[in-house]
Amino acid sequence: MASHKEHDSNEEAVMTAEASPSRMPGGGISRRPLHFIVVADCSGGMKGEKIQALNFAIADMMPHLAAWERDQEQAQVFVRAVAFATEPRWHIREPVPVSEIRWKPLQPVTKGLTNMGPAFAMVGEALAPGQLERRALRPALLLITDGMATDPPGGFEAGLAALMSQPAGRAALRLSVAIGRDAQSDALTQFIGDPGVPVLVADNTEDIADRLVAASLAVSRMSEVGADRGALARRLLGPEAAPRAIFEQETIV
Amino acid sequence: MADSRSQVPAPGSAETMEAETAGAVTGDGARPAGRWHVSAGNARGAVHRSVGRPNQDSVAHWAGTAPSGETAIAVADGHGHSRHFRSATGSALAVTVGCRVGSRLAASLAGPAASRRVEAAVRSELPQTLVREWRAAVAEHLTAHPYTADEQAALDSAGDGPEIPYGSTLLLAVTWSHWLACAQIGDGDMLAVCPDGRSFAPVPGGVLPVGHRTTSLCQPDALDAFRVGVRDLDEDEVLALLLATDGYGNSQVADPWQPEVGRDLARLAAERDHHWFARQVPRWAQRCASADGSGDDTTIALLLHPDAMAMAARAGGTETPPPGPAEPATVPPAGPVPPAGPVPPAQPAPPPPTAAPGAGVRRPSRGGAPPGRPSQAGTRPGWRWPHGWATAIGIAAVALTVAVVLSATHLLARHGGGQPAPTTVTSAASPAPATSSARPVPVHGRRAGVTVIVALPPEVTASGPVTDALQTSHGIFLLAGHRVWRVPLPGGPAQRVLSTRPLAGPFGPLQPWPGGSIAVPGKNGHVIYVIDPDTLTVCVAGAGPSPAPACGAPPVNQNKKNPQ
Repeated sequence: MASHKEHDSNEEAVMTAEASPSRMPGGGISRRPLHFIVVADCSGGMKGEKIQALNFAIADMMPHLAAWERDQEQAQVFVRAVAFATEPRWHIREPVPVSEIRWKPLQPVTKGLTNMGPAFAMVGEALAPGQLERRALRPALLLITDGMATDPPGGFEAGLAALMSQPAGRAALRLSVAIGRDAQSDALTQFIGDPGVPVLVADNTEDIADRLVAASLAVSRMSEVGADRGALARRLLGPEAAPRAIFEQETIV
Repeated sequence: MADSRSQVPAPGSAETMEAETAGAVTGDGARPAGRWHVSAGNARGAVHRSVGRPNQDSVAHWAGTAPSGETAIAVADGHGHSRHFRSATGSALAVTVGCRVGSRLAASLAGPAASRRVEAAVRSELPQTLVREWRAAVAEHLTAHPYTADEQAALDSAGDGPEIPYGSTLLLAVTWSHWLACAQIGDGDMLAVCPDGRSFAPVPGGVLPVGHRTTSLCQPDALDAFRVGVRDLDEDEVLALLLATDGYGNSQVADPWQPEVGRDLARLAAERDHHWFARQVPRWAQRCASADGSGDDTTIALLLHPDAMAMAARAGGTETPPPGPAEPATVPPAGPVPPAGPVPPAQPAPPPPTAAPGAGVRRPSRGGAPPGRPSQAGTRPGWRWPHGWATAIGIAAVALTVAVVLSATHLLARHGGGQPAPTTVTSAASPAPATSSARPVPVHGRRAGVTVIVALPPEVTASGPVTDALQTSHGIFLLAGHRVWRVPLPGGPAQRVLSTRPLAGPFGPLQPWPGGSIAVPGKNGHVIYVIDPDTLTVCVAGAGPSPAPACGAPPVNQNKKNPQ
């Protein structure tokens, strides 16, 4: 289907036209959905500047995803968010088109722990068969945390296993942003499950936005059909990353 | 036996293929098979276009001249990953091999074959022969076009065998006498449609890997990955058989989409002849391959029963989901197909029939079914879609009343005219009675990278189904009752179409609009558009002041990213 857009100087003649909406059987067509789920740490440790920076960074990341959505020709991005501390909860339960999202700030949970396992399990439930469109692109999960997992023994593993027990969970692009060097841990590497995809480390709150932009780039490009995810991970996130400012910083590991 | 083989691995825009397969079977228990009509379309995906990848889909068709009405149709989807850098060739080889093997299968079983013999032959021979001959064809191609040193090094480092770069799916359907045999490896869809609109998958549903992976002819255990089905058409009437690569299914909003597509195909078959389908199928492929659909290469092949129109008409309405047919005879693979020869006739498409009101155009909704929500699986005797068809029916019901989106133009208002219409469309500013309950719902669309959201204003109602809508800067154009009506907007062109909000009323009196061409001034002169009032099709028909050609001229894509 071709479409056409013509601009003239006075903008009055801006138009789009599409050829042949022929009598096509079925309930209509649309781009393939790409579900992007943010799993954000709202433990007590995030209180103050960190959570503010994170909220800013997430809000700032969305336009990047929306811009990519406009530019490419195969996916429509839907966003959801899980806020977790001692317990997880849906911050955005129903998928919202990225172009329509208005980020509602996350709130830290006073004295809340960093229990990741239940959050993974909650995401796993949302990715269970029947919960996603069969034609959906592989979902993308972004875990953002400032600390080590504080799950009771076996809790992290059980939650991650629940997520990975879902075919869409296994197939998902899983990225992680660690806020502070101390936050980088084996747990995040386990979550990513791909040695070719590094943990993105934000050394300070100013870095968070850059890391999330990097993550959104990775989510978008690595979700494209036919993408060589390994090569893209190397290019976008790894040592061979393109010479963009955010990639030149050594905090991108 | 004669052979008519046409192949459409079109590297460019959508391709058309229309043919009939002849046959009047006599004697020995065989019955006249008539002519199955074949329509096919193949379109390069928008994503492929934007990144400079070729069209990796292929489609081919073979029709014998024997009285049993033998027909083979094959579609294939070459894998998109860089590992499969010769997949376009692989898919072309797959459909060629598919038709050849299918033709031999049909010839070998053309007599009064008992069902057990047919099933045994398909079960034991078809997949094995397909895999063997595809690999032989790949080897032959490789001999003529060896890998470069770099390619070979890449294969070696990945541990890939020589067939991997040619990786492709294959969907093959063979009909002869009163038999239908189907074989599939990899993703894509086959949909058999009954005269009353029921539908079923003629091959068992395979468990396909999640994500972007699929089973493939190039995998070592390809034989085990084949899914095969056989059906006696004397026992179960089939009106049409749809074969499509995954670019089609991945475009469909409804999930599952098959029940609604089946019903619509049956309804259309009752109203339209095969020539109409031959014209439409390539357009459907093109739409699905566009940035409004999956953006992937899309191939659709439709086999239409010789008496499709009568069968569908006899079956009557398709409003209520009828009970499903018995589970199609399906058989697992295993043994070789005896060779036979193929033959040729392919026909030019006759002039298109006049369009008539009927099945409405369902425009894409941006989100489609709410993602993330479970759809309940529905069941019917003998068959079952994995997810709730009830949900799909609900979506369909909404879609049937929906109007849609699109385009904008600056000068449409000049073309108001008067003609009566059987369906009335009214606005608050119109004295005509508002008699409708057909309320279009907001539809979201994406065109040319710009989000356009159309929500027909509450003042606008129609006494009949509004099957499509076109939102422009000068009004909303509604297709209702086979007429186009214009709902003028307040403020005229000042109200821009590229708004993310529904247009605001009050609206002017309704004006019937007869269609015609529109010249839109732009940077480089005028661009001529044509709106077909029958289908509300908007075509870019050329540039300059000259009269526009008929709608249906190849649209020009000028706004998409240019790889250069």
